[in-house]
Amino acid sequence: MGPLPLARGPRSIARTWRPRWAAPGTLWRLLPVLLPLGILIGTGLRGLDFGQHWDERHYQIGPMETMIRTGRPLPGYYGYPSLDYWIATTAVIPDAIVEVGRGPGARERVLDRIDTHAFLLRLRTVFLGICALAVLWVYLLVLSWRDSVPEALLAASVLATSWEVAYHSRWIATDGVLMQFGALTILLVMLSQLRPPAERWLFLAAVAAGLGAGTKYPGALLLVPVLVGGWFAWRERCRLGAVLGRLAALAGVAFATFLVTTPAVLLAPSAVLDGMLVEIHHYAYGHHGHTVQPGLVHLYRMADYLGRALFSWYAPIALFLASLCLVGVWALRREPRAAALLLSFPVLYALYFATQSAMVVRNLLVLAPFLAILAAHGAAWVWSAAGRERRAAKGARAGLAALLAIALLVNAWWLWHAASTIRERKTDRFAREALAYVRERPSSTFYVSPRVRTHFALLGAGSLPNVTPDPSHAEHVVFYAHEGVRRYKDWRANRLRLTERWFGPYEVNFNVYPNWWGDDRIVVMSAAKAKGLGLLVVAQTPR
Amino acid sequence: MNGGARRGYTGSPWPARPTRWLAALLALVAACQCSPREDEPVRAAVQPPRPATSWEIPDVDPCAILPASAVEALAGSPVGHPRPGGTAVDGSACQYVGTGPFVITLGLMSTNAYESLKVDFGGTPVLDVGSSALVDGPDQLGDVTLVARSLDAAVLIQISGVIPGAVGPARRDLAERIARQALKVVSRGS
Repeated sequence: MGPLPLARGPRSIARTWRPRWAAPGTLWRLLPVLLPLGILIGTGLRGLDFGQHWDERHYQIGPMETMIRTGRPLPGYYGYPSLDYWIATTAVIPDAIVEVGRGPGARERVLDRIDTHAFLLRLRTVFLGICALAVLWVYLLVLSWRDSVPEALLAASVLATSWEVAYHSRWIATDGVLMQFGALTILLVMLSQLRPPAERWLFLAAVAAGLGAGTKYPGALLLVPVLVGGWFAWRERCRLGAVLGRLAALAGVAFATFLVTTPAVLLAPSAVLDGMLVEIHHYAYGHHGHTVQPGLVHLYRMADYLGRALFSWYAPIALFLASLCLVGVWALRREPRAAALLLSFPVLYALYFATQSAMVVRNLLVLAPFLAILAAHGAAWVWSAAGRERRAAKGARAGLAALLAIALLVNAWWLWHAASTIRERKTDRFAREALAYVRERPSSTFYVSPRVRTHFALLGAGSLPNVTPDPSHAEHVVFYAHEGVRRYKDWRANRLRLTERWFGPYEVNFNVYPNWWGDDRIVVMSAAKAKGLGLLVVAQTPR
Repeated sequence: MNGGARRGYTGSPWPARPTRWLAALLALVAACQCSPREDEPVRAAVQPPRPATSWEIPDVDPCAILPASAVEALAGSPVGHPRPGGTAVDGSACQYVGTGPFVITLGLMSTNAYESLKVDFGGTPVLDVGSSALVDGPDQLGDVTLVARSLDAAVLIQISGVIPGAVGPARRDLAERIARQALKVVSRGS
């Protein structure tokens, strides 16, 4: 008995709308994915020069430099596995070729090139390109599974127009790469069920899961859907012992792949163990402002982020798309295999992180492809559930389509806008906008920090009647973020309503990462909240 | 075998030496897109040793580095008592507020933070402040920012607003003088 294909389900959008060019087997079916890919990559490149990132220099580029300097595959830092460092090393190849051609001393000259801004941007481009592949994998997965170009395009677009995904994808960091391997793994696992023989897909999926583990240790959980896929594929045509043997082989392939990415496991096992223990300790005991109570509180905070922020800067849009995810989960109830494959990793991963005491949202990025697939599936279910016979149903469908189109267009516009603000770093735009904000609210009382005050004065603000010199008399405070606390670690992270507004580059979600090292920005916050957080701006004697 | 000399090992129509093409392509990429900016020349083959870096930040209150009188003397304008001024990358800062209005921020950070910052900082190198320093500005708002490091400490100086005696390039000079003095104190203190 061959492997049982996943039920495609009776409710695919494809059944109700499929133009001729989108028929199965036509290459044209792949073209639509270029749109979300273009949006993610285009806006990503536009905002690539976003400034300083905490980890890039010392935890990504530094270990790669160590490998080049020593000529050994030992980066010396093992808080992460080593795949990122290999990726970074490939970005050095063009420089290496040029410098080797110039004669002796090539290694030092290459290392000097790595220390340049140009290399930093090139490396960010490489990481952006890798992260963007997640959009392609999601598109291919939904296309294969649902046989529907609109549903595939919707899933890919939900992922590609997520601001959280977009700005994280610009970082030289492990999380976007893991997101991509997460999407690739689940694509291959789904293909194992849809396009037998399953073996080739499953072993490729095991390699992808191993690469995921080689990117970030918790990526090892990607092996779970691979094993579930193997169980589904083999349990009805093999004896239990044979099935278990094959599953062990899948795990072995994944582990071997992990070892290839991180040979230090064999060459410097105690150093790797130390690195892992530091991270385990780090996440078990909290991380400054990212510290959170493990268990239900952490789970709630994750759900809050995934529901209100992941899919859009605009909370109503994020909530709308997140609610479609829930519908998508509901719609999977009649497809238990697809449900097990699509949900096993995100559920286990979320539960694992919920047991930790540190919440750094970039860890959740790998869930985004899964949730985008579910959102599209939910939308397709609503579309089909509306039926097509009655007039009211047609209206409901038109309404759903309009809502989705508006949501995605607004998201895409936001990505463009955010990237544009990055291009205006180091200009007076943001001070002007902050001044206009204060001026346009004459009935509100603001306290303005000394540095913002000097900038307002330079812009000819004069005396503003709604600005008080005493923060205790103000309803709102306006200050540069770097004026907020004594140490960056003092900021409390992951507060989606931390600020009322901020004026500065939108290279990062400041509400989530107020401890950002990058460009300073003018923040508007309620005075009560600033007082509650103990910010310096309200604690000081007025001048 | 010889007949396939112009083909790859697998007999594919790919050129016999794809690595040559790949090398040429990669070299082109390096030459066309990724050359360092003018302000970050690639150093010659004989290199000075890379300075040691660390996450350590000298255990000094940034407001205790320079008294208000010292800043007043450098700026040529009165300033209020130094007040906690927030953060400077991974360290803390102190603010001196003058009536111009102007704000001078003096931050203390780790040498690792300095090395991380300098790749993105832009600006121009300053030769006689610490072991390495960069200055940027005045920008559109007139701000001048200078970062500098010694062997074991790094500082960030930011000058905002109107200081009567420090206009245009003089603001850079002021930032340099403050940085020099601060580094001297911090290095001695650490």
